[in-house]
Amino acid sequence: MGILLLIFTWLTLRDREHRHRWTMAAFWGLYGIVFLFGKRLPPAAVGGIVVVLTIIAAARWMGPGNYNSAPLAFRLRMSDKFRLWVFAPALVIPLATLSIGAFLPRWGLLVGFGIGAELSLAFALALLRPAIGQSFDEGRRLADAMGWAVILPQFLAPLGFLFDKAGVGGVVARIMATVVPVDSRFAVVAAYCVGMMLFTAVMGNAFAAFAVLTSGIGIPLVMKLHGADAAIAGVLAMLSGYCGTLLTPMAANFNIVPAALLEMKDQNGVIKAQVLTALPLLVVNIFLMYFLAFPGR
Amino acid sequence: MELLRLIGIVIVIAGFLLGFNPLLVVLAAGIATGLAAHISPVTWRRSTPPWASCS
Repeated sequence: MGILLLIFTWLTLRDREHRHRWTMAAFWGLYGIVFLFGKRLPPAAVGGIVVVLTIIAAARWMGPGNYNSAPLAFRLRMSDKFRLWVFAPALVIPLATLSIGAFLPRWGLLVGFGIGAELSLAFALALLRPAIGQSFDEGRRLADAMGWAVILPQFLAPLGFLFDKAGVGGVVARIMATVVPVDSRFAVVAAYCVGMMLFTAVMGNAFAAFAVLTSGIGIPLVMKLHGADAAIAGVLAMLSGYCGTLLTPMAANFNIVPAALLEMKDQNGVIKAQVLTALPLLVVNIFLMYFLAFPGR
Repeated sequence: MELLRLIGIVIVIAGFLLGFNPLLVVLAAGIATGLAAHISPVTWRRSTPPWASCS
């Protein structure tokens, strides 16, 4: 990933017509350096890079460049020639991931995903025979189109960690204890699930919200006070968090990037389409936790 | 003032509603929360959140 980003940096630097040539190159370059050497750099240096990346993004010193994309005639000819088969390389990725996950559990799904991507690329190159280096250029086009949204998940993970370290969960718990009737099992379950959804919507990340909300409400109120099964309650709380993921622009990689890549007219179109899934699912989760998480009581 | 530790949440919501760049909003929320909780802004110790690679 780091090497790929450095290739994007190099391609951006060679793109002499690029309006934001230097800042865009700096953005991908610094990001690539963090990927390659993040573990060896002192944390303060990585923090400095994060600030620089933020300044570049916030100042809008980013934008599309000029790409050596395949000409339209070539694309039309290929789509006529292969018809639905042009989607076959994309299907290789999930098939390879799942089969490696199922038959080689030692390697795991992530390794399978990596191998699947390589196989897919090889298959696509063999099938379509594009110009050499075309995939890097198309990769840069996609990365530029996503822009700063690419690194938002990596910004949100430390924010959740910081919230946890700062004791946000404890403060939330004390507020909840005054607002929610803690004697009511249904009320604490609902507070846990709704809280997970709201916190995930704010932080764009159900894992980060889970740490805060479980230390704040889950463990003290739902599990200790009312004796919920931690495994069942935890799973349903995570699922409630994902209801928040469906609703928030902070989960940019899921909700905003696809809208940008597909050039949808409504930037929030993805979220609007997901509302009717998220809200009923939250209600279902609350009842599931209420009825299933309290064994024998 | 314990409620000050929730400043990050306020910043995220307000920043987003006002249309600031989300990276800027998240960075500001992180710095403000750290200051409110008296966490040193510069550290030499490495700590990685367990969910760093998840979303």
